[in-house]
Amino acid sequence: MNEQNPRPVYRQDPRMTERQRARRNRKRQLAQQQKLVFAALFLVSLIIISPFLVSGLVKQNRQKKLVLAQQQKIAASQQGGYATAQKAVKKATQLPQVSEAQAGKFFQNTLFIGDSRTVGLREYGGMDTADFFCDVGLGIGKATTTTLNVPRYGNTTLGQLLGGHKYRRIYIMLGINEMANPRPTVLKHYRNLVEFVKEREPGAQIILVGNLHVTAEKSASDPTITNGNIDGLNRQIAQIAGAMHARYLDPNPSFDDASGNLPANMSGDGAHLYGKYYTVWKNWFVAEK
Amino acid sequence: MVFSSLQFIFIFLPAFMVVYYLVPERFRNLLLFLGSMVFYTVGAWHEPIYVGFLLIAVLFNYLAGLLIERGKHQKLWFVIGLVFDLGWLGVFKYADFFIRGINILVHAFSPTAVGIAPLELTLPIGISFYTFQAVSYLVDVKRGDVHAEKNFINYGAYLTMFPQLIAGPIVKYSTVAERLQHRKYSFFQFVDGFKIFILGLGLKVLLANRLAGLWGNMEGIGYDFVSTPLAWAGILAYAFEIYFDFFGYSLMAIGLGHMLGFEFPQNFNHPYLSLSMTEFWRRWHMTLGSWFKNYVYIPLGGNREGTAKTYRNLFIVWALTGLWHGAHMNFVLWGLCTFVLIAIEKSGFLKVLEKHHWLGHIYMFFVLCIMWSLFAITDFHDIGAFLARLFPFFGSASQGALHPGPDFVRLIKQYWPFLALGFLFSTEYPYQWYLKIKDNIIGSFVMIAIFWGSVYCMYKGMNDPFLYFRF
Repeated sequence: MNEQNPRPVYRQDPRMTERQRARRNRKRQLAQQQKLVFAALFLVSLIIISPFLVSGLVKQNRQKKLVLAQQQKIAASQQGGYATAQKAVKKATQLPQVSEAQAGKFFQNTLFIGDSRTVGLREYGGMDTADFFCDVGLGIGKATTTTLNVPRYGNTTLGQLLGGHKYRRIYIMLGINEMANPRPTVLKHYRNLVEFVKEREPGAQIILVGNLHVTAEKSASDPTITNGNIDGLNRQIAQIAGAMHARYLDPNPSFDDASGNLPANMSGDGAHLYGKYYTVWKNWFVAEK
Repeated sequence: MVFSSLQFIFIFLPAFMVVYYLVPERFRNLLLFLGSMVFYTVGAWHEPIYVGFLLIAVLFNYLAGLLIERGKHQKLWFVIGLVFDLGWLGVFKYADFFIRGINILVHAFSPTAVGIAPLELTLPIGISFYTFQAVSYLVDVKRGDVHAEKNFINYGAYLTMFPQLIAGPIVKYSTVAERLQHRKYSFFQFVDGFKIFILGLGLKVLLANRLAGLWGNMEGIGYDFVSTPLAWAGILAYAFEIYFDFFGYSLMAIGLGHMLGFEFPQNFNHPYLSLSMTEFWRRWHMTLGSWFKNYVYIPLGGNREGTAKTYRNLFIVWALTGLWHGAHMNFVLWGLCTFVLIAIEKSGFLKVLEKHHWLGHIYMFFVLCIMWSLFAITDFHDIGAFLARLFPFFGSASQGALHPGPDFVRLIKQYWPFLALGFLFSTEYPYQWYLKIKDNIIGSFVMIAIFWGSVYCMYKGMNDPFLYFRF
């Protein structure tokens, strides 16, 4: 796409008439004028937009520092507090394979609320009798107000979905998208969400599911999404579960490898399971009843 | 530093350009050399020693060029120069490749042997590009096509100038020799260059980076698990991504060159309009193709020493081209498949393709999808699994692959505009439209919109590492 930069030929071309030469000069002048116009417009846009850009970058930077400081505080306050359960945990891949009929029955009147990992469960988990209120990147604060497309129901809000159906079991699996957000706000939104669901489904068992780890490689390369930080968040979610009489489940002991990370062979991008492992996760959900 | 980053566009570039145009003309090459070293140093912040390597490469090749031209042992210095340049490249890029090969052989003979541990050296950024430029310079001096550059600063500016240091185009010394001595500057040339830069930025940030998400999603699902429709959507996304990523970057380099007073060669010419692989490589990464033609194919004899030697020469060129793209066997396989296709086309098929354009386009569509699969996926088993998903006609491994799942619906809803734009921008229509509008008021608004749209995307952190960086 290398455009020919029209370099004016000043040599007298005898074949070109006076008029043609004048026209060509006019064209060149016009093009040059337009370039000046472009430059002027660009400078104007730069002057108008720069303040917003700079303030936005400053804000982003400030928030990043705040979140990092918070994470350090959380990590420090949880040193030696929470004792990881040492009981022998069966690896998820070794759990018995749940049949289609079993899964169909188990997941009736079940709702999953979650983010991209829950989308994976919906698309590959083989739990088609369950309902899924989930979206890639779903924010906890937005879950109570946003409209999503739910199979069998179309576009609906969480309130409408809960209002129209009596659920036996509601799983909430959120948080990994909020690792870079201020933690107190995240937890407040989480508590609000649990309140919201409890109000509308008083008879349902609410199960808060810990966020699945990422692979060792992802944990080492990302400043905010590390397995240490995920554990920190999961512990706080477990506390919420205790305070609000919900159940807490942590899939990580069943999935982690010996070093406490998601096994590298289970994920292509480090943060999401390969499609074929979502049925393994289904087996885990059934086994954890 | 990446061109498509806020620190480059708003800090380095304006600062450099202001100083560049304030400084008297005779200091501009020095400034270019120094500025490019700053540019490289920021990019190589975690491996500062690679800055040293670059400087050594500049110094060594500068001296070698002079010695080849005037020294007593021309051929000796030429060989030393080549060995030095290609040696560095070989060690940093291919050491582990050879170690892996040796380990495979060792294990074949003795399964319990330990083998050699891989060196795991990080690749100095840009080494594949600046090495090839250095080699082209030495060969051109030896052949007498150019005079060796006497001025160290000028040579340093040539080898390291930041528009093409990291990812090309691979610029021959003769292209810039004249301009190194004397450049014509004009405000209008500067503005034109900036517009080309904006085009490249838009293609990379607004199109290529978006499509990367679709291929990434597909990788995340797993090559052996993805449904056939999604596999096709994914490989299309990859084909467009790699094209607009690299093409965009080349445009940014060319635009920056204009802004500095240089004219860099075109690197892409609507390659997806090609009717044959032969034509494709005259339109894709053109500076690499001509480098291999000038410095490998023709020295080997080209097509002037009989049919057998011609095929041998083509084989060598394509194996090496494949290897240049990556130190893994899948790239070599990719190169060799290219050779097979070009060889077949050479022995008559080409005429058929050129006569029946529809056949050429269909042929290239399927060929490119398969070739990019070989290029994109490193592990051979994964390649096999993925090809089985693309063509689910053979074997039970592809059972049930044909049905588009809910993931396909979701991802297509998200990405179809970008796939459509990919097809559109592969044609000549956008370029012809650009030519019509570039010097009128509509063009100005479009360019400014593309610029700020790209900045917004970068600000939102949707910028991905440029694919060709670790080359």
